[in-house]
Amino acid sequence: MTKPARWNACVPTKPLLCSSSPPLSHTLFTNQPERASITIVTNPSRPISSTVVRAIVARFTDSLNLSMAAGSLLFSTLAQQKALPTDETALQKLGETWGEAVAHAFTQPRTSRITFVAADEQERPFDPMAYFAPSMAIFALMFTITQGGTTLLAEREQGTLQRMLASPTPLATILAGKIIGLWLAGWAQLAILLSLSALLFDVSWGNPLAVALICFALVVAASGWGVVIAALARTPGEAQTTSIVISLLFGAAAGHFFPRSSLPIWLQQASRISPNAWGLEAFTTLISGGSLTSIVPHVAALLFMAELLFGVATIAARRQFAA
Amino acid sequence: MPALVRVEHITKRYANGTLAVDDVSFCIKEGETFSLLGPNGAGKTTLISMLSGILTPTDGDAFIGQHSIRHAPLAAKRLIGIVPQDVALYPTLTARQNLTFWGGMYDVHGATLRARVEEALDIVGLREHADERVETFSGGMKRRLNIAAGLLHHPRLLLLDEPTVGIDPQSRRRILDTVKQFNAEGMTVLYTTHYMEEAEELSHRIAIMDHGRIIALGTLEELRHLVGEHESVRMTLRETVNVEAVCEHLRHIADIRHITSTDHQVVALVPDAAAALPAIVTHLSRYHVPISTIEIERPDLEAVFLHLTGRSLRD
Repeated sequence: MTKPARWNACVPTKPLLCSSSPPLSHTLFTNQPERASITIVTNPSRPISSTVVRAIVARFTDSLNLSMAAGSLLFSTLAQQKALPTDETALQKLGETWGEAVAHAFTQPRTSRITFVAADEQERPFDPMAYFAPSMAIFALMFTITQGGTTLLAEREQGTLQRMLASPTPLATILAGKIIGLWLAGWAQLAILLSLSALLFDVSWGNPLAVALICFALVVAASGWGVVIAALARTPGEAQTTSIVISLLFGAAAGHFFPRSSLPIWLQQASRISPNAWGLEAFTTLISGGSLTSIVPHVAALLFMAELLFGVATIAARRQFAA
Repeated sequence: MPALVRVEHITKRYANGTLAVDDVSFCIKEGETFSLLGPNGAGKTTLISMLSGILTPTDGDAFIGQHSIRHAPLAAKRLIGIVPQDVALYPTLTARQNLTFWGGMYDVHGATLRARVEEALDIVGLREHADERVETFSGGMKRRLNIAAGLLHHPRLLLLDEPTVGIDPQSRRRILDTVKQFNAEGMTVLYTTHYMEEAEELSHRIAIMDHGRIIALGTLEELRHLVGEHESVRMTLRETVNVEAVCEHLRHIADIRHITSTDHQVVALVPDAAAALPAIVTHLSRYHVPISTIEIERPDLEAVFLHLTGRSLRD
């Protein structure tokens, strides 16, 4: 049985501003204990719900802190202006009245609040589809592409590769044909999944040029893993099993099934070897309003990964196919 | 007639150290049918794989026309049509789609390719099945389509690697007739087999391979002369008989020059079968060896192989 996890959220007890006026804590919580705490008890095996609860409590404490800061600022300004009553009872009465007014304002659902929105951005609420659509698209892509890399082994087993090698078509052309075919399949798959999620679930993918760049780099990097697996495996069956295992591991580590932030730090870092992590991060950056330049590092990382993997595959293939 | 194929001291040693082909040299004249005969594992397929550019020789070289397989492999490959030992086709494509694909691999396109596909389907008698998927074909039909895929670019040299293995006698007959027809039309054929009858029927010259080396090369008559004027006495014995023990008894007969056994058969090489037969039968009767049949044969390639290696081709 998993041990429940506990977090404490503490309300600060020291005044936020020092002035000649009484501290805000004295003003607002004269008859309250100096330290208040909120204890959250969650089930560690359900990290998502625990994250949601923690976020709600954090938002509440933030609001409280903000109100206290605003109150402190208000009262210290009034004190400097010598606009506060000097009588302690009158001062306490003023504090209590202000506290009640603030508490009342919090209970009103339509109370106007100040919302900070950056000049060139729009506020976007969390959309599960915007996370799971790219997740599933990349996950499915990895399966298709890594499995597709095994076609060379299958061709070797059925003798058609040898027959091709006996033809006057250069080896580079044969391999290029295989790889380009794989890329076209990958791009087509991504195009279908992205278009469908936009049409059916109203997912806004962001800048189309940036989306195209990510798709290109993602498919090329995924095919890198496909050719490495094909070059190292001895049989199509072995390659198929390896590609399934790798696709699942990469999917789990990159956060396709649960948020990557809930994984250990070392695993989050390790997942950087997968196209999934870079691709998912790039897509979510775009969906959250990121620009073309914001996904350039992700695309560069994916293309670098592809170059590295194709290099490894070339060396491994030479060893395996050298007869 | 000029040599279309010139093989010069070609050797292949695999990464695991196996010496598959050991310093082999020969020539094939234009228009000739040349057979490589040898048991499984003799090195025939490795040799064909090197000639067709699938494998790189460890040492030596070969020339197809004037083109070295090491230095101008693409030019050499344009002259070659290959029919691999295993059927190398896409099972989910139709016969016509397969031929169209393989024609494209040899730079045959457009109307020429369409005409060649129809021509190849006619040659192998599969036009009626042209639009059926290959996975629905019988073994013999697949073999014939496998041959057709090697003909689309009108090669000067056709390499056939054991094209009749594992098929019914009717399909086998059809393939052998097709090969004879190609040769009659001027195509040079390099044919590998471990069936001596096929080599005898098709070939102008035969090279016998064993353990990666060519141990004899010549016309059928030249090879027969290697055995001398010896004839074979083939005795089929009952299944209960200890064949090895029978061989031991027969070795005491002076006329028998060589003796070997396969399954329930004993083959004895003798200078004159009619003269030796009474002694053989008397000997077997003395030891109460039950005989099913006795056949007398003129020297064939089996006898040549036996003479050269002391083993049967089917060992």
